[in-house]
Amino acid sequence: MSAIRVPASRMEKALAETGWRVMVPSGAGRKGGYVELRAGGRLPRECGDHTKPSTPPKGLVFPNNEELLSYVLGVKGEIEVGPASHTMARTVLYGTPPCDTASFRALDSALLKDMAEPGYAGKRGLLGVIGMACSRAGRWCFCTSVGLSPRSNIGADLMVYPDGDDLLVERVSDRLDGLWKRLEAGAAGADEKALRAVEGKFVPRVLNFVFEAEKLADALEKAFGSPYWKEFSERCVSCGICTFLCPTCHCFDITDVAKDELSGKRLRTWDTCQFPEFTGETSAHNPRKERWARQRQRVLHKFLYHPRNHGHMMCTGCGRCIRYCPVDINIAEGVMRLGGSK
Amino acid sequence: MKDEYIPVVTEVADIRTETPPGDRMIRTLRVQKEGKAPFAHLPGQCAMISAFGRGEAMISIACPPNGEYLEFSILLQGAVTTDLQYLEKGEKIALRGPYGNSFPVDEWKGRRVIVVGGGIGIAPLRSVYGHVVRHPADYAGLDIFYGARDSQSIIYKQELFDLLEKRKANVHLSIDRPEPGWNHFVGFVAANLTRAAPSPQNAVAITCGPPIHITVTLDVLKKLGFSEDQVYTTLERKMKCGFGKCGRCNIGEVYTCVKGPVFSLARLRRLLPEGLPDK
Repeated sequence: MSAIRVPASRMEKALAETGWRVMVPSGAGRKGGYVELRAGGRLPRECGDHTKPSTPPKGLVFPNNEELLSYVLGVKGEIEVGPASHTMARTVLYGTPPCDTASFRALDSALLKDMAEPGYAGKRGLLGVIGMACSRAGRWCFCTSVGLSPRSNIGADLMVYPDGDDLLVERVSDRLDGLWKRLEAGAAGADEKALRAVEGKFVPRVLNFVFEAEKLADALEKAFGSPYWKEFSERCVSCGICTFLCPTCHCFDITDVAKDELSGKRLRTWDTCQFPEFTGETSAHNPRKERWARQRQRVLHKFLYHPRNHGHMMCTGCGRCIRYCPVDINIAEGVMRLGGSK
Repeated sequence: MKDEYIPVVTEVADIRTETPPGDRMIRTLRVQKEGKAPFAHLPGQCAMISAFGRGEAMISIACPPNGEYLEFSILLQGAVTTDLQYLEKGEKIALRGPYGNSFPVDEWKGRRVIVVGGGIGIAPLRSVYGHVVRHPADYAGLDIFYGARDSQSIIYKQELFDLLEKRKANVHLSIDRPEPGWNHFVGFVAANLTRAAPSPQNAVAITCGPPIHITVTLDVLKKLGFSEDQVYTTLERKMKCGFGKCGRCNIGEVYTCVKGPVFSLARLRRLLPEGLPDK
């Protein structure tokens, strides 16, 4: 059985029994992002633009500050290096909208394929994602233009479709089988038809930005030298908020923080392709010294480079970069102008 | 699972001061771990060297693979490379790697290798010419074009004069401005290359140096009749992780630290225009 129907209260009970930390959306516009559900707390029964926090869930497994190692130096030049643990409490994200759920596919491809990024790999192995179908699109949403939808289960281990007081729960991966077995025992099965019937409720009413994903990569490659990049980035103040609040952006810096002259830590911190010195070399050569070249990098990384390397876009259409940009730069409009428009 | 961030602690087995002390000082550090190279590498690959408390810097490995040691020629430039100038022989140094791809020296067997280095850009190329010198029977010949701003800034001096004297390579040295006692070429490396005009017949050319050096050298090689798959370069990009994650060294979808830093000109042309050096 790959889908079941259970009362919502049963999910609450089963999750509590696991003893895992449960993180839920803190609500639209709040700074809190995903927050820990207090003991006996009620799980969210719906999800949509009105429950989506300003901060995406990536920080749970890819925190802004993560220790990579510690070091102790001897007065005669000895070096001792201590590895970092890269661990966290076993955690379940519950009620993530499909845009945030799908962010884990992009992050996994970028950070785990070939050589794994040790910090992300360690924590990601301890995270389960229970996605929820989204019942309300906001004015900045464009998930249907990037190969997703309010019903998509990409990135989820379990997918939940609220239906009155019940939940239809779909098993997408085996990562949360411990929980799945608790839910499954004695629960009514839900066949494909029942699932599709409920899914049908989660259809966006309005979508503001529509572009065609398939044509996009080729169009953007042709537009590499377009003068439009300058227009697109004219107002940019290089603050980088578009990337810090992006659920898939993952570029980082590595810096040493000395405790004293002989000991300290090496940290990994979020960085952004929008900062002028991001690509600045010591020799003073800088391949992306212009604002437009940096905005072009952001757009092409998401819609051309990552798709070529991994087969899907590095954008989930959550709309945060548009909503929170202080100067109203709109990546969806930009992409539509550059050739993805229907 | 291997933690890629954890460097191996090695020992500075030897130090050669290549240029006089000053704000552009270059020293070559030879590192070993228990009397051997800390890891195997291929010509053109790099390593991330730590200066704890300052950070890390990606430095190309300046010697051919030999199993005995690694060498790095370090120009004083930023925080890390400044700290490294204070290291003494016998002290420890931490590094991780090797990173990146390599020059296809096996494919080049039977051909003439032409090296065109500018400034500190000679360092990664030394891993190639050093390999050719170690395997003379495998290659049809070796030309080394190398120039620096003045005679004091020429590195690997003794080695290059030895190669010339023992006829192991045609060494064409140059400096930018005339100096008393300098009896080699005066002018840019590209001008020296134009003057000597090596034949593209059965040859490959490799170049590294400041962006302007690479740009002009590529033009000269084209005029000499070298096709784009006969010309290779190795690119500098800002790097933090070294294994394709941190997001800053890309040229289009290619991360220079993984699928570079070595590119044939033909491959570079297929990438987006960002890859070619600034004019």
